[in-house]
Amino acid sequence: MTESARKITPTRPETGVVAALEKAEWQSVLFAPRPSRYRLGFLQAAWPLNTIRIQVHRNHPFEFVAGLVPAFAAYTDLGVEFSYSEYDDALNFSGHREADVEILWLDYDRYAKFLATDELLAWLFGRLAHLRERSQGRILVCNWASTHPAADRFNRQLNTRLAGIADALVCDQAGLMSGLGDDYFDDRNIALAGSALSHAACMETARMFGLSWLPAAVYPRLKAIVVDLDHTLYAGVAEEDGIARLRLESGHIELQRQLSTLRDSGVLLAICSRNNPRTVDKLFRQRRDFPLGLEHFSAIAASRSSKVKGLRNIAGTLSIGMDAILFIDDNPAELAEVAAAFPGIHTLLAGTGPVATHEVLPRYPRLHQWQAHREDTLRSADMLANRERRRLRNEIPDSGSYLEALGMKLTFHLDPRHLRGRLHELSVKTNQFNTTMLRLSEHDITSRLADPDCFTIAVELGDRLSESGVIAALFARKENATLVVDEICISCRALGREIEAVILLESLQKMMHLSATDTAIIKLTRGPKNAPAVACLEAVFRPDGQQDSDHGEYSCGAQQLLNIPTCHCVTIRWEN
Amino acid sequence: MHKPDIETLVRECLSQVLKRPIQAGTAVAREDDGSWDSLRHVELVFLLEERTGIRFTQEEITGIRDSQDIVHLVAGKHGP
Repeated sequence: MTESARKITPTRPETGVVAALEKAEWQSVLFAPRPSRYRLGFLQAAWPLNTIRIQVHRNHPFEFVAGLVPAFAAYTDLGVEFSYSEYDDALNFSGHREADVEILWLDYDRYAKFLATDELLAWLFGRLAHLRERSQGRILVCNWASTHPAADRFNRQLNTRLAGIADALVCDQAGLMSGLGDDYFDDRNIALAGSALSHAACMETARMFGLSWLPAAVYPRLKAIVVDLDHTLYAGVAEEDGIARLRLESGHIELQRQLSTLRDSGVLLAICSRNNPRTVDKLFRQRRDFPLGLEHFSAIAASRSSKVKGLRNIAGTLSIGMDAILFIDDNPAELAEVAAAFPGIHTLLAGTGPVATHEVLPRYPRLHQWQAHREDTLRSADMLANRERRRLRNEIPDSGSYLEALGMKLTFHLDPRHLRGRLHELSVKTNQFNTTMLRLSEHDITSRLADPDCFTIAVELGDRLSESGVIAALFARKENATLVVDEICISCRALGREIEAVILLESLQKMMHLSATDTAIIKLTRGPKNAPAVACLEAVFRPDGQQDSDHGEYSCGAQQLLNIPTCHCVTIRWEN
Repeated sequence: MHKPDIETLVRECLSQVLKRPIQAGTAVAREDDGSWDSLRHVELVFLLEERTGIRFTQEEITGIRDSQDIVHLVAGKHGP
């Protein structure tokens, strides 16, 4: 699902430009404080969409919401195809069809007349477990938006307990109700259409589904936000107006705070500006009233040359693809130039007024986070430590001495159920070191963790400069007398420290020992970006037999593993 | 708002909700139009309210049978 969603990333320059400029125009409609139903009806995407199938299980109408979702979803390159259950309080899932996303849209007030909260939860989780068994799709459960006294407790329990079901997530409908207050309900429609939702409630729900919940369900989260400076982070032009005269208005303060919060949640920040680097440095030293400081940015490209070049440098420094970057600039021509060069990049036209940047950013697609992982809070510090590692590497020309100086520690976890979410994230988000791009869902990983013939390993990395958290995942299974490694993924943050082979060999030895196998086969699918993974496998195993251009595999005997040289500057520890 | 403007607005709203073009002077009735069901009816009311700034009562909403009813209703609340 996620992989298919990635396939439609525009690749032709003209498609990227059209999408970037039209999306900039759409901003005034989609991100308006109260979007207009009338204006929404005229938005037709002129760029390719990836259609996802959404099955709605409901006991009250969802059509008022669904009718408004397409324009919001198109902004995120998604086409939506809804199908509906009958109005079914019992959630029988009769006529269930294969879907990418399953939405539970229930009026819980109907149950509260007959069931206590605990009974309702027990029944609901029974039905969710049943749906989980039947569907491969992500399950989005809308919580209880109601003034009913039991709603708060129900929602808290739902949040807690839903974490136990793979790929099942809460859509905070109650939060939308709080935001809209009395405008959430419109009792006039109950008799006519069986819905108590107002126009505003339908619109906000559709906007959340189209811009936040559905993209977060099918796409990986964006990895970095790159911002322009002049007229984006503040009002004015640093080199013309002078640093002291730049205006930091309330919207800019809010925007900078939002960026800081996003950074804390794991999104990397970078600057791409045509200002002189000395001006940028002076700007942040002088303007202590800015909520953001230079230390918040993992990469800075400041030069007179094009922003295309700047973004290329930033992507290289952060080791991420353009399709994982949101670029914010106040100049549509800059957005167009960048989109022509990198059709997959995400762009946002910075501005002021009712759809000012700080109003848009919290709703911007693919920044919504269902659950935070420890690695999200470690990421920015780890990127900053990379600067120090580069400095160290330049100071210590000898590779072995450099690695020894880092004092690296690897902690291996076998079948770690508690790391299911992070394992899924690694499978979905890694590109450069991903051997097969299987894009395993949490559901897939849960099944593997429960299967005695499957082996799943998570690897944590730390060195004397920073903790990187879980940076690698390996998924394998025993097939007759052979260990088949279906996927190996390593975060790009961990590359360049010569630990890839250590992770591979240590894991293989453990899994072959536990599975009592004497041969391992490592599957490989060559993709557009996974050259580092291919190079590592080539270096460690060398190709075995005939291979076609895209698929291949490497095989290795247990004895052979012992003879493969690896870096010895790493401390290794196993848990469970 | 003058009656021709109201008629144009009602036609535009009906066209957007029923997802088909509606010619000027063409009357559209709920009972003759299979796609004008109760769900579309609520969507139509949402759209009319947004464009006219009028809030209809429940009785007015359920009393709408055709495009002319809407024109009269809007004219009565929004007439010149």
